[in-house]
Amino acid sequence: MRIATTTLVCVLLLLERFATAAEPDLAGARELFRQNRWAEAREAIASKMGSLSPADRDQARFLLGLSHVREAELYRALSFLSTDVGLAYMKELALSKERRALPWLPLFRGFYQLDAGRYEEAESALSEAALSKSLTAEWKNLASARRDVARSLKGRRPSAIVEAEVEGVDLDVPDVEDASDPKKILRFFDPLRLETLERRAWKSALSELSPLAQEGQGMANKLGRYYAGYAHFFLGETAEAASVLEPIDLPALGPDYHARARVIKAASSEPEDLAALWESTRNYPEAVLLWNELTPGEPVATTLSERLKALPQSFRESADETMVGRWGLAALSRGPLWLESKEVVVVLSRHRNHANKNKIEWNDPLLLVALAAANYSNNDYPQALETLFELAKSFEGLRGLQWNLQGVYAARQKAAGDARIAN
Amino acid sequence: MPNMPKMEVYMKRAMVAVLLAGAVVLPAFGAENRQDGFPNGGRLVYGEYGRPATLDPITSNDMVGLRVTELLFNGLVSFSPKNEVVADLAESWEVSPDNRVYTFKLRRDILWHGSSGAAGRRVTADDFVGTLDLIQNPRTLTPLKAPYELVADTRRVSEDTVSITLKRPIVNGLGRLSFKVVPTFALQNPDFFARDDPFSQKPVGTGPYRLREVTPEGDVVMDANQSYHRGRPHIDEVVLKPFADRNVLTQSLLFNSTDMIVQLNARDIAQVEGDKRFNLYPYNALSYTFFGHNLQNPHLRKKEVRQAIAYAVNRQEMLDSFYESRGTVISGPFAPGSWAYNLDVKPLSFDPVRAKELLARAGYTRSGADGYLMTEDGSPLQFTLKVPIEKENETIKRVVLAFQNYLKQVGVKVDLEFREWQAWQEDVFVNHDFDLMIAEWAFDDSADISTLFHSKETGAWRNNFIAYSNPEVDGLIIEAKTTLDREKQRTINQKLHALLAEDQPYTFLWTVTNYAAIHKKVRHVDIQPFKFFTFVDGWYIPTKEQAGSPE
Repeated sequence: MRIATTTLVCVLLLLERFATAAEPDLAGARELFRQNRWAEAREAIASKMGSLSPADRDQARFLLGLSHVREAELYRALSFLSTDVGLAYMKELALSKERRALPWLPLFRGFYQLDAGRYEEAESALSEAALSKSLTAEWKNLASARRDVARSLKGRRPSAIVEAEVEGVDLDVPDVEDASDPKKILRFFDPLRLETLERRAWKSALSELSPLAQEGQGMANKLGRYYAGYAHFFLGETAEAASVLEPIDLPALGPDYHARARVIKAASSEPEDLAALWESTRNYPEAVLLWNELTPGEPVATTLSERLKALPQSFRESADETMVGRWGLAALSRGPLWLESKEVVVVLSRHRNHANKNKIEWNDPLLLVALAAANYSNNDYPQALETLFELAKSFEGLRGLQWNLQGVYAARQKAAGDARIAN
Repeated sequence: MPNMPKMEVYMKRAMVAVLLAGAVVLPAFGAENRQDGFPNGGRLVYGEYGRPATLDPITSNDMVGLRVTELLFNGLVSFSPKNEVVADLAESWEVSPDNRVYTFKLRRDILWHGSSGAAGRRVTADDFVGTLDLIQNPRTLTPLKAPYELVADTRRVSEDTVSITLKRPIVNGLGRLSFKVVPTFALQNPDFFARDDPFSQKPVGTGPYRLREVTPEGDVVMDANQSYHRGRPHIDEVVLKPFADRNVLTQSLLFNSTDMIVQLNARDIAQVEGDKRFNLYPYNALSYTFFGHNLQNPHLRKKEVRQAIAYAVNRQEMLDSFYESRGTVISGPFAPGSWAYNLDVKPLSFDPVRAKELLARAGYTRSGADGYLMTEDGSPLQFTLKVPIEKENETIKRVVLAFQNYLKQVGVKVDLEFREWQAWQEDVFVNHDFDLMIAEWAFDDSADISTLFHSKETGAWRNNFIAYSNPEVDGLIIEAKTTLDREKQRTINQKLHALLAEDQPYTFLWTVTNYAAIHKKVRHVDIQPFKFFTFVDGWYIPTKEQAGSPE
């Protein structure tokens, strides 16, 4: 049986080699990190921070930063799934004969369309919501504000970042509960909650990694800079990402990190020879996945697609599960014509610990979300729900996704109504 | 920008979804031979824990029976790997505008398996009319009675056309008409189905496999149906081998006596996973384990006693210790993978103090010299727990022993009675002769718990063997069954979840993942999580690996 391993853990070991002998108290935190219990790892570090040597403090800070990076990536993946499921649920509600005039529908459909980048539709739905006679002024104001965001994004104009309230909020409680018919209670959750949780985690990562990038020594400084750049990249702050990566002696990080950093830097300014950069980085899977985030045009696009499709052939049994999960999400986002979700399930399942299939201690959480997304795409709703049920024990903010997925499943199931006893 | 791609590609996906949704596909499996290029031949021996009481789809009520009847029988419609309703013995259908009348055009090329009187006879509309009449006949003891109460009339329109009229439109009308058809003319009495009808042991169907024999050891030997309407199944022979001992069942796989175990013992997962000869297939059967409380027992009729039992038991500890944490503690009558699971309802905590308080509130305040609480007549508060174990099931044995000990700690005495599976079923389903019982329910996607908890479902071979009766639950069950609004159905089911979690007719325990362990020589395996063998006709064994199958 193998327990979850990630390259990030390897990174920690790498860092350790360059540091002084690790403070024994950090071992517990590292073990919690290895088990993907990130919040607990952070708590363990926080209680020891004051008593650590400067080198160990660098390590501890790096661990804190990485835990936020992992969490941010997880919420990013959950947000991806949530958008897909949310739109499907809104569609099912709209198809229902019983509640066509439900006033909440245009509002939340608009939210999910905005989240999905379907700005024209979002603008239209949110405009309808903003004029609704059934919604309160507060909701109509929110509809107007998001409609303006959709409008500005449609025109590719810079827009203010909108975030949901997540601090001090019980995220299991819906934004709206429509109990006007007590026999039919509808719940609506703002999809921005998950995106906000993602952004919060990236910012938390930066707050831990930036000091390392500025004052850390040796490898701690280099890795701190790399992951700070990575966080900026996913926050859409590409100039900052390039800036923080600029001073690093990239080759010293090794060829893989070097390739990744070069791709991140390429996001801020179109490199003169994109094809050459692609050719020199295409053999590094993590770099290929970053290329996929950039959605480059030709001449890279076609070969990127081919390379991405071939990536699983290079995944060994011990492949980094987070990376495999990232690949799964990238494959799903390209749609079933690119690769059937059933095929994605097959690839991802090879890296799942079957004996403990939904446990984060044994499986990378991002891999589990990717599997849930692939199961969902493959109409295997029970499996997706079961995975989310387990994840929700460790991570907040999943309830909306679970609710919507239950709704899609309820609407689409066609079974006979059979129940059987077993011994 | 990094955040953009997800949104842009989503639009492409949405378009694809719309295109697919516009194409209504009713596949007809007309090929006589499968055209997939895979070889025929070989033998697949699969092991089950317990033997099926009956081999027909009418009286069979357990998972072992469900799986074997999936090999032997078909219905009008079936389900695709993506759970879409697809044609099976019907080649097409029409639904009336009021969604009450379903008219099925039957395939003309379906023959009953070659055997005695039914050999080679064509399946006609009369068979479907006869099967539904049989199910609805009061003298037929079948768990299908309640699901098919919705049928008002079944009519032969022509030899190849049958129409089924429902009492009212229902959710999933088509899926609910996926019952398996039997040749009523082959029964001892064609009007009703008695469990002792010879047909239940020598069934004749239309499925991918046909029964050759049931050996004296209880092995059910089936041959490929050469004229199967979806094409001849690749594997020549499938054998169900029943085991009374779970440990032996796993050993049979490891020592090549079987090729497959449908549901692997949790404790053996790691060992089998480490054996390169086998693949593990996790599948979610929407199942959960529970202790059922017989409400005909005056003590268990008290809600406080049932709640006390739930509080007295440390379910997480049992799950961790006996299932190596491979599962999830549940709070109510649905599995966590179901759309009906109420996420707001949390499992009752382990709280022996609260359990004692509840027992005291129920009137059990005096203890005897042995430490057990006493009832009004001075006898100990004592229950018999019927456990379906014939020879050995180490995991369940540990669970019930732990249960016995937990209840002892709060002053309740539990006597364990181990019964062979068939005898246990007689005790529970027919004679209702138990105080407590342990078993597992499995459900299809519909999350239909009506037969478990509706007060009318208490007769012999009905699923409400605990005699649960709660007018509010009855009302909600009826409402959930009659509404066409799926969101309403979800609200009602989640309300039912909360009510039953409060009422505790069962001590709801946990859901554990099902793992099938299958020898790697078996290829192209696709498992239907509930019925398991729906796609077995596509499984195959490469020619080179067909030799050396278990005897």
